[in-house]
Amino acid sequence: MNTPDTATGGAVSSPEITEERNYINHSQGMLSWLLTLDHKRIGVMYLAAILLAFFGGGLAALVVRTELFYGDGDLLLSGDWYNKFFTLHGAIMVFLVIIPGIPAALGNVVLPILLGAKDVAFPRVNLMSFYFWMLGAACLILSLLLGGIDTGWTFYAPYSIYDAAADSHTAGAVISALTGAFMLGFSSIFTGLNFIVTIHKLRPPGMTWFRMPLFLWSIYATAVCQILATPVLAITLLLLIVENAVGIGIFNPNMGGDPVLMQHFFWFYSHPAVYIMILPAMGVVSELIAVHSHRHIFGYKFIAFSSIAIAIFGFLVWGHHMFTSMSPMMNVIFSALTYSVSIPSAVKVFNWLATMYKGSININTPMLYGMGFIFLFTIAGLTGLPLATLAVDIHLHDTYFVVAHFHYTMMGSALIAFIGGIHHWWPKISGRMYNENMGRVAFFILFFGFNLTFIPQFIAGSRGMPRRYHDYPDIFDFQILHQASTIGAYTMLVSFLMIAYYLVMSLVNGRKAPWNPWGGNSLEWHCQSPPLHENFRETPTVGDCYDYSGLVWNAEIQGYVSKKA
Amino acid sequence: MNLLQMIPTSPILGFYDPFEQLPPAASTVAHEMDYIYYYTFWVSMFFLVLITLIMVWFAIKYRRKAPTDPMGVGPTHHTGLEVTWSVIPFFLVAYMFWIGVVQYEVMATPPGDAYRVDVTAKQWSWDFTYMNGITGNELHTYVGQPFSLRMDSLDVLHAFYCPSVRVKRDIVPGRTEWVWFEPIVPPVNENEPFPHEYYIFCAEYCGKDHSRMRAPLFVHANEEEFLKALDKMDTIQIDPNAPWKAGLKMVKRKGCLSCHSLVGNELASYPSWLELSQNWGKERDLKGGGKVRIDKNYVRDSILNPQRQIAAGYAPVMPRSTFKDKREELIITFLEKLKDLQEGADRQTLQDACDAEGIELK
Amino acid sequence: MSDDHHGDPNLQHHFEDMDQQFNASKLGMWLFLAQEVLFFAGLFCFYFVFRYNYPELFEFGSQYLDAKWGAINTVVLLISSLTMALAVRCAQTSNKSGLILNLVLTFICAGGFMGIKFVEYKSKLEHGVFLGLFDYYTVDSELAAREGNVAPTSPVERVAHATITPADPNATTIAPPAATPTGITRPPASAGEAHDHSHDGHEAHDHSHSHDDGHGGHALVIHGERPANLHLFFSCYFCLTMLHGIHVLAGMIMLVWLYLGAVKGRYHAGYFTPVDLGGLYWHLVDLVWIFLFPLLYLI
Repeated sequence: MNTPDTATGGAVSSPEITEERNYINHSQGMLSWLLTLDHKRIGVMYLAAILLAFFGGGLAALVVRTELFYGDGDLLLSGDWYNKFFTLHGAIMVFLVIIPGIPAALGNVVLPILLGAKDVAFPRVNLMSFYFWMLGAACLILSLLLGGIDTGWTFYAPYSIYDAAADSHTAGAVISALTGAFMLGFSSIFTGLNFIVTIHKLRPPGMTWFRMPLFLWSIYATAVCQILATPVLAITLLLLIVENAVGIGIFNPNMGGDPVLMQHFFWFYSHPAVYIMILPAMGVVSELIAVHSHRHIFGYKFIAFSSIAIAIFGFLVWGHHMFTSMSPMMNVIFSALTYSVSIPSAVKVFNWLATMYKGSININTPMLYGMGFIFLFTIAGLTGLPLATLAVDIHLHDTYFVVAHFHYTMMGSALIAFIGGIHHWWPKISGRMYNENMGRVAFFILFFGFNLTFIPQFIAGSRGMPRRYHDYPDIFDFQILHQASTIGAYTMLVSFLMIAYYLVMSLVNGRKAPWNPWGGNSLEWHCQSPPLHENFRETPTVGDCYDYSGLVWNAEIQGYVSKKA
Repeated sequence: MNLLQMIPTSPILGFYDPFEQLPPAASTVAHEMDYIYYYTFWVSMFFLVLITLIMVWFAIKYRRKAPTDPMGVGPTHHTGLEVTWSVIPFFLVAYMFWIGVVQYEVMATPPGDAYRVDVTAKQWSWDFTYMNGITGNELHTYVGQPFSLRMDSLDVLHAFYCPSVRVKRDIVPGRTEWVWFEPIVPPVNENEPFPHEYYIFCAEYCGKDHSRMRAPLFVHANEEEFLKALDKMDTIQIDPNAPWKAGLKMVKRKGCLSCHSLVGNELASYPSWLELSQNWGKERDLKGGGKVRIDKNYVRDSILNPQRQIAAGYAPVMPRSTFKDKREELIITFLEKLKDLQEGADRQTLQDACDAEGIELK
Repeated sequence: MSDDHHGDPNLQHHFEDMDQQFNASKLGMWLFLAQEVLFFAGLFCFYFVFRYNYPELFEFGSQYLDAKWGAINTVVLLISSLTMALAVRCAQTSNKSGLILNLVLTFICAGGFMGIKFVEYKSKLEHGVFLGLFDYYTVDSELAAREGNVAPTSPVERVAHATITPADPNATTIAPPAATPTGITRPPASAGEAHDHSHDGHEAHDHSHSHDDGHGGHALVIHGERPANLHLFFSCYFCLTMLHGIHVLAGMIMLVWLYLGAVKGRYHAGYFTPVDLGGLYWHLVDLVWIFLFPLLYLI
């Protein structure tokens, strides 16, 4: 294989002349987008659709939080509608937003470019997976039209399979939602399949495994989880659909079935799904920290292998979702396995810190998101420890402590990294620079609002507030904690509106982005912004993507360029 | 021997808690559990503060002042360091795992001399049946006696959760689950008069009124008080002038009102009692055809054998109930009288009686 | 990198050459098959859990299945795998007529498999047995009608090679209610008729198919007392076989598509990826059945 000397710095592109043509103006018309096979356009469509879904899921969360402002309930909603709203919030955020968020939206746009490929291996499958996502979203909307579901996003049997007056849902609505989740599962499988084949087979000469940016490693680990875990969810959902439609009895205790079996199968997928959410986020953060610290990533191989280790361990820990319903022996085994995940996670955090050591740290918006991620992810990981500790989990299980813990993981970590990634690659995707000052202010509002929302929930939970409560007795100062939390949620709304505003404004009057505004050295910074339809004019040569010594600032184009040899 | 006694209790990692994170420790296992919680809490706090301080310090110290600054140059790896920070967390969490398991074994093994209470969970109320046959919606216990609960669910998943005694267990329909605890007097309640009252929650989502599936846990000073409380819970004083008041008591005790309504409600999924009372003596349609006259016999049958005659338009979801001393008759009397109570001059009396029982009249 | 060097019209723009495209497609197919395997593995897992929890239920339930039909279907699928492999070989050697012939043969085998499956399902449905549905009432009344007042009361040993006689109280013979040409179900056949069928040389141990009733159903000989929750067995049976059946149907659609391509002459030694990948998929469908057959019919 022909590999250039890494010491001279990474890829050296042909003369950096930006052409007028790019993937956005490559062809015109609605259909040229809807039927596109270009990974960047599919990624952009994903991004738009996911952000729209995020807006919907966020509104549902605000309704839930508003309802909880006072402890006596029925402020906005009756109990059954409260349940429908938290189910809606959970289902949208998990299935429509966070699982596809980073891999399908950001991954689709930048993965082939980072790799130096012209496209993903199967562009048609890629487009199909987007339409599977749309179908899944349509099914979820249909279930709303059929009266909504109040089963929780986990669809626990037997509540989800009874269609009785005591349950505020109909079988039709549940079947529709289950079908939606099933479709979204296949969307996720096809995305993962595409990425694995792309990474294996479409690497250009010189792009060895250990030259890949860490984002690709994490996407690869994610894709493995997607392919191995999602089919198990798919079959479980299928059986739930059949159970709801004709009553086969395998989850129905009245017919000799076993509802806990359903939980095992559900979490055999849904725990790896947590890593499907968090692994790509870790990959994004590895990029953010390295690029904006302008310094070689520390412990490349430890980070890369810890991604794989997390993906593997992630398959062995699902039982910790059932500590209060399994036998003591199983509990002990799963408790031990659960701790195993904490080690590679800790390794990553320490490596990111070490990357900042002796760096040249540009504290801009993406870097703030990177640092925010480290702080929030540390809390997420550390609050996992008491939950993995058997004796303590008995008390904390199914309380607000768990709610706060997984919001730190999914929102504080996965979503913050997603937003950070959007900022990091926004110049590349849109070709425009956003307002940096507004970006920083919005980050601090978001960061403050997030912690204000969820730190009180830790305390409420450890004091014994169970989750999924529509109203609550005002003991142990639950009400003041909930009120702080609700105020925090509205604070986050402000920051999200701000982010939406300046990102949209950047499209209108933003400064044109240079090829390399941050000083990154992975391949996406060696193609123009926005990239050409075929990504690169000629096959890029590949070097060490974390070696920034070959780049210098050019004040004229307000971006970094390669040093002239 | 409890291996936990081997844990060195350091004054720093002890029970210092500025946030009052845990509810009063009202059972024998709570003290050790709380210790483990605070141990993980302070270890976590240490690492969180350490990581945050280092991060902020680096961000300030190595800040890039101008885009023309030279790129950062630092070590790209250091195997010794990386192995170190993999191994140290390993030992810390291994210790956490160990103490968690040891304490869990204690919590999962009921002592032999426990007093057994049968718990029935249903949407959305709890029934507690004591060894002397008394049944009620309150859980009574007393200090110094281990109690073990034998729990069944009649419909969907529930979970028995009492934060103050640190006990939680999912109740899966079709399986019988057990928990145990031995109440003690937590330090914060030392000067409080008995009985001490705590909350019991349902912690596994079970549908519309999941959040209202609560019950009180009473801790009495001794067995005598405990038995007295059971008797009090069990006895019904029948006021000869207003026998319906005793009926209302039974209604409360049996948790009927978690589904049924004392006021007419067209949208309710369950038969409204006011409607029944208003139509007393008339006929109603049954599911699958047929009619039945609403009278004492019909109502009695609906309480004792709810699945036999299902009123048209309603699902067969009502659980069976059993009564001692024919107390279902009290409920029937109340139901028959409800129309007059709601519409006549006795409305205020009903309101007062409901207030006395803690029933929301809506 | 430029596309002009390779004139092959089948090469997509983002691949370097045909080799890369073929390898990528093949890896993609293997990954797809891996997720298919896990998809079925989930269902097999359910099967094993329930079998572990209720072994008696599966032993009893499998008596309702006719191992002969299962075995025939296994052979049919094995033959189809052979013809599919031959089709791939023909595509690789640019043998167009051989490719078309083998695709057609594979399709016929697949159709035959589904036909036999249809016959089996039909007889179950006529007994009121379907997904999660075991019509205890119908089955019991049929039993009563045939056996008079002799009903199986206790679990008994399986008697191999035991010929059914009217005096054997532990064996129950069920024939599907014979359908009139208009599809209206007649009352169950009398006990005497059922035993006549049994006397036509069928033995208890092979769960014989009754050829002489002329109505497409078959007589089953059931031993032992029916355990509770028998519908769980049929839930497993129908979920597994229906999911497999859906895969066979998808395979048949794929075969039609391959056939159309083959007629147009799209596949030759230089480009046979679709046929190759279709073959892989078909072998997986076959393989799943190889597991299903013994698990459901034999043990």
